Amino acid sequence: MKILCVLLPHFPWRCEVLKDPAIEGRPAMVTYAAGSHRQVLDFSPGLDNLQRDMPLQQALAYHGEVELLHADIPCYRSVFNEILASLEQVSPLVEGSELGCAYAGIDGLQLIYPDDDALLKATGEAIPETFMFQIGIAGNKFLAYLAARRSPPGGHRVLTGDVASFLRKLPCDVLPVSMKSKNRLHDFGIHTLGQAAALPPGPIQSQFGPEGRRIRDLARGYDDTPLYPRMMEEAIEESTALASVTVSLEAILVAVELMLVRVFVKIGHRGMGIRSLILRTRTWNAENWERTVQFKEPSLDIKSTLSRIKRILEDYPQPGPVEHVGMSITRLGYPQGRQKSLFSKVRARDHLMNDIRQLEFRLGNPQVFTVKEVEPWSRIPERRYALAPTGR
Amino acid sequence: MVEDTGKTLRAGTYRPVNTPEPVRVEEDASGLPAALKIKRRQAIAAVEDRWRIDDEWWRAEAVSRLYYTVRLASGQRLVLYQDLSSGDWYRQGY
Repeated sequence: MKILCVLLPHFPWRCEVLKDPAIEGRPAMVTYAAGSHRQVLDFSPGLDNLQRDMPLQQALAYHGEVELLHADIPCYRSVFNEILASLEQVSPLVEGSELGCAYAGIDGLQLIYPDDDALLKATGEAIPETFMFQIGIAGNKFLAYLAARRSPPGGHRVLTGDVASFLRKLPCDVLPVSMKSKNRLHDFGIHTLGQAAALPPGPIQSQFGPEGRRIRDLARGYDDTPLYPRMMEEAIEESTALASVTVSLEAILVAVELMLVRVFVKIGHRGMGIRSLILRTRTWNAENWERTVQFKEPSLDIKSTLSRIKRILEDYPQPGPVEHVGMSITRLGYPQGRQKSLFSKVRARDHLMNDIRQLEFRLGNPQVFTVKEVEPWSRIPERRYALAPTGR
Repeated sequence: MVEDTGKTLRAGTYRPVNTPEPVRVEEDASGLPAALKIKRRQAIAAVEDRWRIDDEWWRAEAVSRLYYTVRLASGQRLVLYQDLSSGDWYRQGY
């Protein structure tokens, strides 16, 4: 299968430029919170010694005078989804691997694009001008990715013919394997893909386990990772700005309720309910909060959806006063009646046990007990029976 | 013999059921229950049955109870017992 890889270098930073073009000429770092620490997600091109996921303190030691921007992941995702939708106009099989990296299956497109140049031109046109892109075409995802990485900015590279000579001198760090395995390869003095490819399969597997085989295969240019085209789903997005910045849960819930009203109007009378949604908030100092809310059964009304969301908002507090609330409905579904069985009593017990487990999961501790015979022969009444947690 | 670990009962273990509930009982001159107080004082109209349980005599605290089935003035039936070792009264389902 022929795969086309599109890389969008410095994607988060470019998204920030899209929001505020004035950032373009200024050195800036996009940061995100990892627990109590802040790390670097991206930075403006030209800043040396920086890399993704580096601690902010370390990054500031290199560049103390840069502008710091809070990562707005929902916004980046939204922009990336738009780009993927544009790429789907070029090829129907598009996978959004991670922010700023997309793969497309391009087999059988010859009738539309007679040659690679036509295909590359259409791909380039699908990407907004703000984003610099690199395109690679090869026989599998790994090679397509490497080809894209080695292509000039705004250009492309098609990898055909002698793949081994292309791979031979590339560093092992390009392998999509764990950092631990990469470090071990270096410890063994294996620094290039050519060296990794030359290793016999037995020893490398004995040292690295299943990943060893993958390292060897990738180093030889074999990658059987399939393309996972994104599913075509109806996207319902709602967002609202609060009248004033607030920490009040009630005020946030009012905004959520208003959005749910609009969502259910959009769903209409199709008899579908919400299976999954993503709730997002943004605080006054641009901190983002995001939670995925799953529903065991499709939620068909505002009240039940709101009560579930309320619990999530209570369990996961906001990082600060909220000024903006957004919601994406990621999955809709038809309500499914419980499967009837010929052995209704058996299934009824299964359902009961399931409900009890849900109850215990929510409230903790055993909540439902069964009376068990302990010493039914005893003359002392309180010794005859005991309460045992149901289902254990 | 297994030693008492001193650990409190944890969730998931068995819970007792039908444990005796202490109750205040007034006795008449012959030692029979005449009235009891559950929220309010209630007179006992009749003692319908009486039996004794002696068990676990091999333990330090042997079980020795005198049970009564009583009918209250309201018509309600109850099972009471007197712990013969302490003299305390209890109400219990039987």
